[in-house]
Amino acid sequence: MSRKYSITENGAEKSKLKKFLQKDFSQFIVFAVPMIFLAIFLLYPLAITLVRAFWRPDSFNFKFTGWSLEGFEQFFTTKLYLRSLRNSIVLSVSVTLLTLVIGVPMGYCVARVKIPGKKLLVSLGILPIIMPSFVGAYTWVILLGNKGVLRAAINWFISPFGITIPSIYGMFGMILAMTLTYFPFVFQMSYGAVSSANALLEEAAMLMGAKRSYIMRTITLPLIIPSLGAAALLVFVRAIGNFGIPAVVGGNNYVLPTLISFAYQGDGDINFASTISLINVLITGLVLYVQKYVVAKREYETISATHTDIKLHESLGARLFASIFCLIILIFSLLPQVTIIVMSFFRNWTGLLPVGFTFENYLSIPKNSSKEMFNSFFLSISATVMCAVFGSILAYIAERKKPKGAALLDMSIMAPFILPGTVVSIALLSAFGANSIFKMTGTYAILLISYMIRRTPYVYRSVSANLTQLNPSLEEASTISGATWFYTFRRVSVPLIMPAIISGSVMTLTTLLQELSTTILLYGPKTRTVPIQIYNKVLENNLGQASALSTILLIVVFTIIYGMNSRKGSDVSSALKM
Amino acid sequence: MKKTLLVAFILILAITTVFASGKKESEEAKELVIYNGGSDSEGQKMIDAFQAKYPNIKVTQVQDKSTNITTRVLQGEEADVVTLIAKENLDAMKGSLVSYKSANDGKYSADLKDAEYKYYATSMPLQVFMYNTDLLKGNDIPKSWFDLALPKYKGKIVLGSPSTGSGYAQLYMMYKLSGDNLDLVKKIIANSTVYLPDSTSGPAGVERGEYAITITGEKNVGQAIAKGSPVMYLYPDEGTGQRIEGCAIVANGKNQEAAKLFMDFITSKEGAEVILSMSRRSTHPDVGGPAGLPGLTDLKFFPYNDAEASKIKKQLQAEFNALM
Repeated sequence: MSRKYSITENGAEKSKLKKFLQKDFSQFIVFAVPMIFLAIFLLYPLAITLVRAFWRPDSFNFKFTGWSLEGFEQFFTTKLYLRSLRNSIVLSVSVTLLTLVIGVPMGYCVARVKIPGKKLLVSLGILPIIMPSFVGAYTWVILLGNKGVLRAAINWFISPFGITIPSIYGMFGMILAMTLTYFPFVFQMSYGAVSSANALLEEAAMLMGAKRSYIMRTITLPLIIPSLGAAALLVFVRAIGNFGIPAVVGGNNYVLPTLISFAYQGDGDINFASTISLINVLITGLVLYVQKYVVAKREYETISATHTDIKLHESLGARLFASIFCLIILIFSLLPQVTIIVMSFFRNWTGLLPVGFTFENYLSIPKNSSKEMFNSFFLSISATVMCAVFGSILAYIAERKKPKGAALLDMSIMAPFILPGTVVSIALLSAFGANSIFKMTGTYAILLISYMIRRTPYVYRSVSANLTQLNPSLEEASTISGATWFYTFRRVSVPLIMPAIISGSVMTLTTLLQELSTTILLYGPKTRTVPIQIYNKVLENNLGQASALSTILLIVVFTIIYGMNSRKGSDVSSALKM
Repeated sequence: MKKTLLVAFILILAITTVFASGKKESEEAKELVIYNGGSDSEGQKMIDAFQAKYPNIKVTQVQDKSTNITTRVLQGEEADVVTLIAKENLDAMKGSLVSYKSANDGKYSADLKDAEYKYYATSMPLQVFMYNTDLLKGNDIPKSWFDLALPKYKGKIVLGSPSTGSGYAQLYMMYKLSGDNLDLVKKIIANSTVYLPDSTSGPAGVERGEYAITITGEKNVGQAIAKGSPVMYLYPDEGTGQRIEGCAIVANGKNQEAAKLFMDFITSKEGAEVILSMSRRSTHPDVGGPAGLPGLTDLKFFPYNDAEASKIKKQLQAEFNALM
């Protein structure tokens, strides 16, 4: 820290002021500016939603309707709503458990077994979570619906044995589709945790004669439990907030997001939508509490000064099992992507097989979508750059300087991560809708700001996690030599945390390119993006064009992720840590 | 060092504020912003036809659900015109609309426009049955609203939830048909009918053959037939309720003159033909029914009291929820 002391003899008052002015306020400013930003654009909207939840429900009435618990009463006395609540809980708990069952072994296999094509596997293994759930849900109908092509094929094989598989509609289908969509969170994080867990501990145990299973139970598993807890929470939040899959394959099994959509899109009732959102958030809060309770007792830091190479399982059995297991999961979870690519070359797919081979879906893109392409890339890239700057500076200050209120900052930044997207979007809409003090709907600014609010956690977490594992001695050396904290940050810390910034930014960019739930509520005539266009095409049952646009995004996203995974030191999992 | 820091943050703030104020663009270029409650390509059809006539006006659209557009307009968004919006929603946003007597006013009878000229009905979202011709043939095809309660259609019907605009209209019609009660609805629910949260997935499901029957707007049937999908329309024996949807000028819009031109255009015969090309049933007296669908005079209607429908909406939806 640079502090200059210049006390003159004849003016104690003057020098005090001078001293005050010469103090290094940069840290305070750097801390306060984001806090104010978060207060306006996150805490204020969320507060409005909280307050609105206790207003009397009313259609198309955005003014104060009077305090009332009517919304809650209506919710807890209607059988349909209570059943939806139960569906939501059953669905998200089952999906969370199943993703753990699939994701953990897969992460372990990729990290610890000698199998070919790991880089490709890790890169492909993130794609399922990056597709907008609505598009993904339609592909499951095409594959496993009453006229589903995959279902027909499987039944053709197994029907001679007197068995057939049912169509996807219902609770089972929702669980299946969501598990295959969200298992990458668990896979990526357990892969990251297992490969970074200190192998010396395991080797020590092995030297002392411990069995594999014993090591697994007492060393490996405890080491990765914090990561698994974080991944499980992420899956739970996504599953309970998912609207698309229940809407398309759930049949009459409604869930909380269905009810929010009934209230908001059906009746134009923001108050009742807020009530349901609050109930949704309370459940998430409860789960977060349980997760913290489970993980808190098992917090181990794996700081390794020297890096040891992890010993891989090389036996043929292990390699064969791992390869086949990973391949099967990967193929099943990527079926939606494959379906979309196939469908993008056809006019229509309204039966068992697609009809009308054509390139027209692609050829019409320059004419119909150039503005949307520009908007999507412009908005996503700008927001990513801002998230990277914002997120890494904040993480650095919170982690290294530990200012007063760091916990509050941390909580505020992470809040959008654990709140369902619809809830954040409704909050932003009621705060910045055209009627409010900050009239921002339809501008690029509101989209950039909401993207930043929702995605800064990726870089922030990724950098925080990296910094805790980074010995501060280099930074201290720089400070002792007289550098300001910012100089130290820029010249010493940034180069060291670059891989973390990159992996956080990649997660931000790739998910923003496919962002639908926030954009759809806040976009205007000038700010329409590609995912909005895809959604509209899906709604008018023009699956060919929707798929062509999705395929282009898919290729861009895959290229970015593969590029990142080819760099040493960056991996997606660090951006997902909680 | 502080300088670099300040510059960095001023830059971030500057970028944000520049975009925040970036809305103010030159007023010279004539523009028009349409909020469209129909599908994306339907909006594009209207824009293309309008721009062919007024090449100097740059038209952009926001496509959204009818209810969401109502919310957006009521919250004060700067839409110039709203189009293909159901009457109940136009009524809900009446306070934000401008009175304008269209150049084609004479062509529209009193029941096809607002008394204060706040909107004109350009089309009728008539609810008809749509069935999959691969799945249902001959005697299996339902003929009456009451057929939907027959056991042979168990699990084969998909409808829009009454939280959607057309889903509620259907619920209200069934309520009237059973003599002001939900008896028929109760039987249809008991028939394992699926009620989807949006009104477009049902028709798409029947097109694919996922389900056999749905009730939907005529245009969804017309567009599916035009695409070559194995579906057919059916006008039930009792008839159907006559509802209207239309176009209005929004008070908050920046381009009132262009909005008036659009209103004149969409209420003209030319405009009606664009509506017709979407397989929607135009209200203009000089054009016929959509290609492939019967003419208006050949159809049977029963009364649809939209004032009553709006009034008892909350109560009916609650009763429906209790049955589900």
